[in-house]
Amino acid sequence: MVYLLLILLSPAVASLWALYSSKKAGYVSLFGGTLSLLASSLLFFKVSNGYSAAWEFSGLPGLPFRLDITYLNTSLSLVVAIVGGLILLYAVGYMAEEKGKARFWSSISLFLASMQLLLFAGDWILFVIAWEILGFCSYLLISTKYWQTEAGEAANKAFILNRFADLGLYIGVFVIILSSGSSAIVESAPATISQFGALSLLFGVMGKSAQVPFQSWLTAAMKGPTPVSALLHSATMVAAGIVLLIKAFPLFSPDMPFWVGAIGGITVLMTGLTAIFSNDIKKMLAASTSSQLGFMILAIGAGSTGAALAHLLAHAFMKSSLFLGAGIWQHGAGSTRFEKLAGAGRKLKITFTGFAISAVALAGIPPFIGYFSKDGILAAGLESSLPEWYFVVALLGSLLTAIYMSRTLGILWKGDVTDGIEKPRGLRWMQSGLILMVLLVVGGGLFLHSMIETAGFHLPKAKIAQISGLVAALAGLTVGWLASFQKIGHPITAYLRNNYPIGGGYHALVVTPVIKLAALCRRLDERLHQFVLKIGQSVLKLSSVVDTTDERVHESVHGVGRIGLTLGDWSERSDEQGINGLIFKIVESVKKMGRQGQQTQSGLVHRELMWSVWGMVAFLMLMILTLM
Amino acid sequence: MPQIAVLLTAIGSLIAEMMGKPRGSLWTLIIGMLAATGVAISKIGTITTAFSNTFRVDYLSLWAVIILSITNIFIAVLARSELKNTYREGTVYSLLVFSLLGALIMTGAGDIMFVVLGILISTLAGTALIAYNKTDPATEGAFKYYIYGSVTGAVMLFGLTFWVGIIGSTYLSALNNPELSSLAVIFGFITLLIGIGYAGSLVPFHFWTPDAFEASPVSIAAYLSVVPKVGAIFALAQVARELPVEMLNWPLLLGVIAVLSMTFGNVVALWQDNIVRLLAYSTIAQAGYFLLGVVAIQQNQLAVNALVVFGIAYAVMNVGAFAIVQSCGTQLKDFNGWAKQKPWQAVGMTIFLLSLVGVPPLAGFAGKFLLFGAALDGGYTWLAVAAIINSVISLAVYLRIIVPTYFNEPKPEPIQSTKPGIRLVWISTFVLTIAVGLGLQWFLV
Repeated sequence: MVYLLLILLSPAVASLWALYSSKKAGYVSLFGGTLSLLASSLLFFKVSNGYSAAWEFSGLPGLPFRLDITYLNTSLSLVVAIVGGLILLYAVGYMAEEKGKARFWSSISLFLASMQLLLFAGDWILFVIAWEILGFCSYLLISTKYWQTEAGEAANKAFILNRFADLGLYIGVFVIILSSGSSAIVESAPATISQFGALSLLFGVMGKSAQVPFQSWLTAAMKGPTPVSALLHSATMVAAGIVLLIKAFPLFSPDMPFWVGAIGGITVLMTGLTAIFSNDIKKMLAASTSSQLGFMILAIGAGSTGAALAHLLAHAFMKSSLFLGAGIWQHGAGSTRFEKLAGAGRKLKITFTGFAISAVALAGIPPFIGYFSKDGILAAGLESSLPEWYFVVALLGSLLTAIYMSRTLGILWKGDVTDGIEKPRGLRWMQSGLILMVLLVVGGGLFLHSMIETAGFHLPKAKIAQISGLVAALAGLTVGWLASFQKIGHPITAYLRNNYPIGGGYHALVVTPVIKLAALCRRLDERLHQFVLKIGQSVLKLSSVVDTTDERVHESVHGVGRIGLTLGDWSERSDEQGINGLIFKIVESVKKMGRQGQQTQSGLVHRELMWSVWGMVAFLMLMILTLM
Repeated sequence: MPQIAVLLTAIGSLIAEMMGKPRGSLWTLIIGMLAATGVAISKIGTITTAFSNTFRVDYLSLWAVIILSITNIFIAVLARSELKNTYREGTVYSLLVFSLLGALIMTGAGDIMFVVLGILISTLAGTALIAYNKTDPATEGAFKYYIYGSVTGAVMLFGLTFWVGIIGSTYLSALNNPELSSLAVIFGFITLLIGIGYAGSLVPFHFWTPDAFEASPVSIAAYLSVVPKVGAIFALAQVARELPVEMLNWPLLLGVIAVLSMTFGNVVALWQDNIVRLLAYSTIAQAGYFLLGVVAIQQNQLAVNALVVFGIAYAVMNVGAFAIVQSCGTQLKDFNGWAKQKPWQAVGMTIFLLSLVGVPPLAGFAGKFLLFGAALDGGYTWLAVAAIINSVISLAVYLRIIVPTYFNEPKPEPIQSTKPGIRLVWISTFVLTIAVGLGLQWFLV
C-alpha cells in the first residue's frame, strides 16, 4: 500500500510543487518521477514473488473505488515509470531554454500520476476519472506554447476529437455497470456485455489511441514539446486505449473481435502509408504511432491479448527513444522538417546511432525488443480464426514499418549536410535520457517473454511468422534506404500525407459544425437569458405590488389599532375587568410608550405589538376551526 | 449536570468582575464552558430526568449544551475584542453565561414552569446586554426587547395558569392525556407559543429583532441570534413531543408560522442596507427553517438529528458572519471592494453566506437537507416546498452582500489590521462550517 501510494502521490505532489517553484520545477518533477520509479520497481519485485492485493474505498454509493495490485498492472506501471523517468531526465535538457516551464512540469507530473492511477484502477469509475485527467493533461501539454495560435488550435483539435470519442467510453462503462451491477474490473467476467456496449468502448479506444478515423489529432498534437510527444503521444497515454481493451476483453461477446481487428487492420495500413509520405520527422513518428497501436488492436482482434501487451511494452521503449532522438535534432536544426534535417545524422553521431537502433528494432530485426513483439503479433495472426486476413495485414504492416523507418534513416544519413545544425544546449541531459532508453530497447527482448507469461497471458510463437516477418523487414529496409526520397509533390501522396482529408478534413467536418453549434447555443442562451430576465422583472413587479399592499395593510391595521385604542379608553373608563381589560390596558400603555418612542425614533412598538396580538388571535381561530 | 457547571461559571465570572478583573472573568467563562461541554459529551447517549422529572437529560438537551457552550466561547472572544477596556466589561461575560443558563434550562424542560423560567432568565440577561452601549438607540432597543418580553411573558403566564388549572399538573408529559378538553389545550399551547415565539423571534412575535440587533454591540447581536433562539426552538421541540396531534393540529399551526417566518424574513431582508438588520431578518427566516424539524418531531428520529445538525450549522455560520461584520462594518457600503482589501475574509464571508443559503457541501446544506428530509418524511411536502422556494429567495438576499464585496471599488480609507480575537473566531467557524458539511455522512452513521 505504501509503495502504491508513493507511486501515485509522488508525481501528484511534484505537480503541485512545480507550480510554486518555477525555477526549480524541472528538478522537482524529476525527483517526483524518480521516487515513483523507485516505488514502482520495489513493488514490481514484491509482485514478482507472488504478491497481489486489492483495496476498496467508499466511492459512489454501491460502487466502491478499487485499487488492484496485480502482476499486469504493476509491470505496466513499471514501464510507464521507467519511460516517464527517462523522459523527465531528457526534458531537463530539452526545456532548458523554453518558456512555459511551470505549466509544462506541473502538467507532465500530473500526467504521470493519473497514468499510474489508470493502470492501478480496479473499477471503471476510477478508470474513467484517470482517463479524463489524461485528456486534460494532454490538452495542457500540447498547448505548452500557448502564445502560438497553432499550438492552441492543435490542443483544441486533440481535445474535441478525444471528447467526442470519450462518449463511447461513458456509454460503454454505463452498459457494463448496468449489465453486471458492479463497477469492478474483473479478470474473468460471468457474462458478456451487449454488442452495443462493446462497440461503444471500442469507439472510445479509437479516439484515445488515434485509430482511423480519429488519427489526425495525433499529428496535430506534435505541436507540443517533444518530451510530451514521446511520453504522452507515443508511449503511454495513447496506450491507455489498449489497456482498456485488454481489461475489457473478457467482457466481449464472440462477435466482437472481428470489429476490433478490422479497425486495427485498417489503421495499420492507412497510417503506415501516411508515415511513408510524411515530410516532417515528428509527423512521421505520429503516423507510425497510430500504425503500431493498430498492430496492438489487430492482435487483440486476433484473440491474443498477450501479443498486444508485448507490443505495447516494446513500443513504449522504441517509440519514445525515436522521439527523443527527433527532439535533439529539432533543437539542433530548429525544425522538424526533413528538408532541414537532411544529413543531420552525420553531425550528431551518438544520437543517430541510438535513433537507428530503435528504428531497426521497430522494423522487427533481432535481437532487439521489437522483433519479439512483432513476431508475437504475426504468430497471433496465424493462430486466429481468419489467418488469411490477420496475418497478411500484419505482414504488410511490418513491411510498411520497415520502409518508413529506413527512409527516415536514409534522409538523416545520406542527405547533404545543411548549415545551421548545431549541438544544442543541454545535449548531455538529452543524450543520457536517450542512451538509457536505447539500452532498454537492446536488452528488453530477453525479459519480454517471461514478463508476458508471468502476467498470465500467452505470447504466441511460430516459425513461419519469424521467417516471413524477417523477410518483410529486410525487404522494407532495403526499399526504404534506396528510395529515401525527400519530396514528393504528387496530389495522391499529399492526400495520404495529410491523413486522408475526406470531405474537407477536420476543419470542414468538425470545426465549422462546432462553431455553428456554438453560435446556435449562444442564441439559445441569449433567449434563455432574456426569458430569465423577464421572469426577474415580473418578480420585481410582484414584489412592488406586495410592497404597496403591505403599506395598505399597515394603514388599515393602524386604523384598526386606533379603533382599538379608543375602545381601550372606553373600556378603562368602564373599568371592565377580564381578558379584554388586560389586552386593552396593554394597548393603552403601549400607546404611551409609543409616544415616548416617537421622540427618539420610529415609535412603531404599538403597531408591532398589535400585529402580535392579532397573530395570536388568528392562530387561536385557526386551531379552533380545525377542531370543527 | 452540565447546567450546574454553567451556573457555577456564571457566579465565578461575576465574582471576577466584582474584583475588577475582566480578564479573569473571560477565562472563567472559557474554562467553565469547556467543562460544561466536556460533561455533556461524556453523557451523550444517556436519557434520564432530574429534579423530580422536571428536567430532561436527553439527546436534544445535551447537544444544546455542546452547541451553545462552544458558541458562547466564540461570542465572549468576539465581545472581548469589541468591548475591551470599556466600563463594566466583565459583566458582559457574566450576563452571557446567565443568559445561556436560561437557554439551557429551556432546552431540557420537562415541565412548563421550566420553559417559563428559562425564557425569563434568558430575557433579563439579554436586556442588560443589549443596553450595554448606554446610547439612546441602545436604550430603545433594550426597552423594546424588554417590553416585548414582558407583554408576551404576561400573556403566556396568563394562558398557562388556565392550562395548569385544567390539567392539574405542570409536567409536559401530562399533556398526553386524551381526556383533556381540546379548547383548554389550544389556549394554553398558543399562549406558550407566544412566549417561545418571542424568544425564538418567530413571525409575528419577532418585531423586536432588528431594532435590538442594530442597537446592541455586534458580538451581542451574534449572541442574540444564536443562543436564545436555539434554546427556544429546542424547548418548543420538547413541548411538541408530548402534544397529541388528535387534540389540536399543532403541526399545521407551526407549519404556517414557519412559512410566515421564512417568507417575511427573506422578503424584508431584501430591502435592508444595514448588514446587522439584514442578518436580523435572516435569523427570523432561519428560525422558520428550524420549525420544519419541530413539525416532524413526532414522526421520526430524523427530525431530532436534523434539529441538532442545523443547530450546529446555524451557530457556526451565523457567528462567523457576525465576526466578519464586526471586522468590516455594519453598513452594506462598508463591504464595497472588501475582497481587494481582505481577500481571505471576503472568501470567509462568502462561504458563511452561501452556507446560510444552503449551498452544498457547507454546513447549512447539511442542516437544511436533513430538515427538508424530515419534513418530507413526515408528510409535510407543502412545507418543504415552501422552504425550498425560500432558500432560493434567500440567495438573492445574501448575494446583495457578496456582489459588492467583489465587484465594487473599495473605499479609500486605509485598511486596519484585524484583531486577533476576531480572526480566531472567524477562522474556527470557517473550518467548522466546511467540516460540518463534509462530516454529515459521518454524523448520520
